[in-house]
Amino acid sequence: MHSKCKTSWLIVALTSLILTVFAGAALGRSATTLVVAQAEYAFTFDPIFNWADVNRISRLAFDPLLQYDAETKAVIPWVAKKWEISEDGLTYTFWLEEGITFHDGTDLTASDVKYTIERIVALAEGVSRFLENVTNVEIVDQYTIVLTLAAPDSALLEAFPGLYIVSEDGVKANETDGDWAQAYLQDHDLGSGPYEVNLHEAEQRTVLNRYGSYWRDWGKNNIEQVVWLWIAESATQRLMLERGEIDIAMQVSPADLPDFEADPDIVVHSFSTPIILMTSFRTIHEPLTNVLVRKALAMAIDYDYVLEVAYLGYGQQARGPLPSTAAGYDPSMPLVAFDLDAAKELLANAGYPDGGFTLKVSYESGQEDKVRTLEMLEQNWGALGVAVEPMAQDWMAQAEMQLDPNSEPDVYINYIWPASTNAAYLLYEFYSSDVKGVYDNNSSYWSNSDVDQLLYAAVATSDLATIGNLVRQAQALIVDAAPAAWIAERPYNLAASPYVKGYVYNPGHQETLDVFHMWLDGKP
Amino acid sequence: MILKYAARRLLFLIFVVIGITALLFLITNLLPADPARAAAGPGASPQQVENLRHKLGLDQPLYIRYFRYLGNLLQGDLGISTRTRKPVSDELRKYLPASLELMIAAMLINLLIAVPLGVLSATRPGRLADSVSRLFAAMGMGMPLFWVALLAQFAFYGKLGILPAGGRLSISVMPPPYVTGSYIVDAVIGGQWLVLKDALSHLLLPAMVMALPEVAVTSRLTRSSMLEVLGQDYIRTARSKGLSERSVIGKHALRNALIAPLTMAGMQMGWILGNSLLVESVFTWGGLGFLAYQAIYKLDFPVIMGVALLMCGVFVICNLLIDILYAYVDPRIQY
Repeated sequence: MHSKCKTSWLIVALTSLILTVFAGAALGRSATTLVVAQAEYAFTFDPIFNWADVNRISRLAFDPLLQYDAETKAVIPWVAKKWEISEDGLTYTFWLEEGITFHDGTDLTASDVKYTIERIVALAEGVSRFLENVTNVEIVDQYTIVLTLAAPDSALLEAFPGLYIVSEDGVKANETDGDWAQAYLQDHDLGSGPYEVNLHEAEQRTVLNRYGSYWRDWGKNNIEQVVWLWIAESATQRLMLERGEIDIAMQVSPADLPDFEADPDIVVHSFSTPIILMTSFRTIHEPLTNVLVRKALAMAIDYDYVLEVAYLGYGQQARGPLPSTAAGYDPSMPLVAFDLDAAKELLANAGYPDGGFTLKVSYESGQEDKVRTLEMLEQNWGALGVAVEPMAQDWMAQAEMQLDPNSEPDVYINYIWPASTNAAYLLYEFYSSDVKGVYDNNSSYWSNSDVDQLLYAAVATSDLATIGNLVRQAQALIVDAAPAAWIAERPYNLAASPYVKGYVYNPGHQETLDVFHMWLDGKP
Repeated sequence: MILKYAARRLLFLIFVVIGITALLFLITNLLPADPARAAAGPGASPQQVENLRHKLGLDQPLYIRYFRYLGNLLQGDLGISTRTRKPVSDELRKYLPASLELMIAAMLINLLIAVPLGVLSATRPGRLADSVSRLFAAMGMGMPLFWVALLAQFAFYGKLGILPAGGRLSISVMPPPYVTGSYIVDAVIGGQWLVLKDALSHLLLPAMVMALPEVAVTSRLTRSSMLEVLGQDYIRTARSKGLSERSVIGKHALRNALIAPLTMAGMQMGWILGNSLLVESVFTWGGLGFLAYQAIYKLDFPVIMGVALLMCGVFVICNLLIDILYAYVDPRIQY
């Protein structure tokens, strides 16, 4: 009897516990909270790193000197209300807005801008490579600052949207062992941006609250709080979006897009990005030294197949190494047509009427679009008599091989993933002689002195018309030499609830959200 | 005597640690990957990569790095994470409570379900309990845990909406004041009952998923152990004496039958921690498993080694505790 009583009480206790857990496990929802799920965890909020995962927070919590406008494809004033570049391109003067405060209440002045640059240079990581040309930073007065360069650099202006200003006082107060507050910035912000970090649970969520003293007009923005959830699985993000627990899912599986499109409660936002999927031909390997062979292989690529199968109809075919989001993009440049017969003829003219050679093709097996591209190449190049030997690698192994002129792969399926919105800099970092064996970007290991001269001239001037002209000439030469086959502009898709308004993709801040210009219209 | 035995076992741990560190050091350095490049990120200039390599001490010869690591390890220093640049010991301390919370919950669920199920299965062979036990065994052993996690999430969250999709707390719930790092314990300490309820609701699904393969093993082991014990002479004697079946099973049979499942429980603690990588990833649990997942993805070798060492330590200590527990379960066992 006694043991029966004990058992009964145990059952009652367990049942109560279970009911407690199940009953009303409701979620707090607020009509002014934007809840975003994304898979790439930002291990730090230090804006020195311009990777997308960090930039998602930086963009909310910090302000840059200048901003990049996606519509005009130009930099616009931000913290710097105006600027001037000297005739020789060596001196940049910035006049700052007054009345901007950091989240700790201190004023943002020229001293903070100078300190930010010094910090970036001292840490020598992340965005520091954009400042390698800066030799001196001088404070003229509290809101005026002058940068001196060793050589003209037209890409510098477009680097500033990614250089966020940190509070000098904040860094100094939170430094540990001379680390420039790097440890502190892993969980906190020291910015002046529209939102400030309120809570950070590692690998779980980051909550940012509206900064009430933000210096700009909020416009339609009614978002009081932004909650970033780190959800690794796209399947989980989908479930949460469908149940209304999140407002935006930033990592959606392409396979889910048709269902999202069909769902009246979900809106798919799709944009072309500056990221271009391509096959880079190792121009130092036979027979890829022959431009006719390269062009033949490019003509044997089924571009529509990649768009339909890898990107499910999103994105668009690339017209060369410059994406459509870049200033200097030439929409009149012809698309390479998929034509196997013409490809065979060209290959025959090159001395390979039946193909008869093997190409080792390096690709990242974890990237769906690259896998689909490889499958297509195996078939189509096979039709030319060119055998494909796949080499599955991760990006680091690929990077090492791309640097080494003696490495095995003949072809790399990779991306143009620009670090800058500046078209001249983009072409320079992928197709100039200087980066052969230096950066992993020039995987074609290709060089052309005429292209080099055009790009040097484009980087050395700040006149936009001149830059555009030089870039177009350089691009034409690059396309004609076909060191790569530029396949598609990779689309960026995210899925959101229909009450999320104002989202615009910005190539200067890839895969981030400009929450400041967004609003919630009728969130329940 | 037990203390001497425990001390001997812990001494053995030192050799295990040396072996594991040597093996891991070798493996991680044989991989065709550059941790400095991984830490610097894509697009980093060669100079930035080299600067970082020097900053992280990765430009030193392998043997120097290894002996330096061992020397630091003796002082409790597990090195610096190449990803976060924080001490590995700090990172482990930060993420361990979440994993322990999940591990203990999974083991509790395992034992609360598996042992009674095993007993019922043994005492009622061929009937419903036995069939349920066999079904659990098949499911638990046959289905990949990652898939089970996604399926459970789909069912309980996506379709039924009775449990959260993941995370340790709801969006609108603030964590309790930090004491141990376990939200359950800290909520109780702080008297925050709503937080406790929310934390429990988030814990239930990942814990059930983690427990499933262990329930499969434990229930079948309990069953076979129980059947063996029930066939013993002293059980027949107990029944002959007119004792109730409940008394025969509960007092005479179960205690002896628990030796085998208890042994298994020690090993299961280690397995659960190992399985946590996949489950924590699906449920965004924020524990060691998730840390390990990030570390592997970013080639953060110091963290990978730290997690491996910690798991090894947990394994050894859990088995030691189980061995000590034997002495209480079975008075015949002495050390």
